[in-house]
Amino acid sequence: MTEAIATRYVGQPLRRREDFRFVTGKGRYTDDIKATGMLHMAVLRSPHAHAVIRQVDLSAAMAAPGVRLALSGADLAGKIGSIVPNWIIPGTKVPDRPVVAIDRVRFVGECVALVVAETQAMATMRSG
Amino acid sequence: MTDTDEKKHVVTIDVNGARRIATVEARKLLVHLLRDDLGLTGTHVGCDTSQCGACTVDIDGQAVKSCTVLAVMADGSSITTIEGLAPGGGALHSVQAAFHEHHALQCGFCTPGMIMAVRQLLKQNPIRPKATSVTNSPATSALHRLHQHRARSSIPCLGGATP
Repeated sequence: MTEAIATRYVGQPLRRREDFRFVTGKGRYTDDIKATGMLHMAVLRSPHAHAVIRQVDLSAAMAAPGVRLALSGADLAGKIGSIVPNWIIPGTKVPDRPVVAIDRVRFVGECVALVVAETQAMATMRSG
Repeated sequence: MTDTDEKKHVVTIDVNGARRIATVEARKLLVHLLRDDLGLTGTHVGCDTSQCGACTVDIDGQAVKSCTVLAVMADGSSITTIEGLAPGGGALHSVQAAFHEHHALQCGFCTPGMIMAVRQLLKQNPIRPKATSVTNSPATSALHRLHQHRARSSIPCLGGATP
């Protein structure tokens, strides 16, 4: 980089052409997208740092109005892959980490069950 | 969690100069009324914990995080969102223009809330623009000074250091 370019751009404000939509509230983000028939998902998370999962009872959630689907880790075991780092240093040991915990949680906030419903409020209510 | 009262309530508000009527559950937050029922998606939910201010709107002249207000509490109020600031015809509100001029945004997600908050800050603390300013408009000059003296502590994004 030449000194002239450094002086001109580095540390200077740039008038970006995309700014107009962002400063007027017309930016479009994932959460702004609405599709016909779109469903919403909520996640039940572990309140425990380390605990054995004896049972995940989804019957009340499944019976609730607006709920289309409720899944535990056992429901998904073997059907979807684990969460893996996208860059693994050679020689690193990578523990198996399921998307939804199956028989044990290992941190507060680990996903225990998923609820899919017609509205976000319905899904959230039933995941609590 | 127990069931909530799913009784519906009629809410009438003026949004950006237009009368809007919506039927909502008591638990619905104002930000969700604006975004989901009225389609005003310029107001964003950044944190879900009433901390970040991305959802800031103007309610009866006061900048308020719209995730801290139930929709039913806003009944009868007059609200301005980011969509209602620009005068139209491609022109920008002075704070919007200053953000663009000073490269005060990156991805822009929190920007609408920051602009609404800065608008309030300038209303409460009017800063005299520099008379000798050559290229800056009064507002950009004000914001420039705001940058230096106020915003870094209250509005971290304004310095352009973080998104």
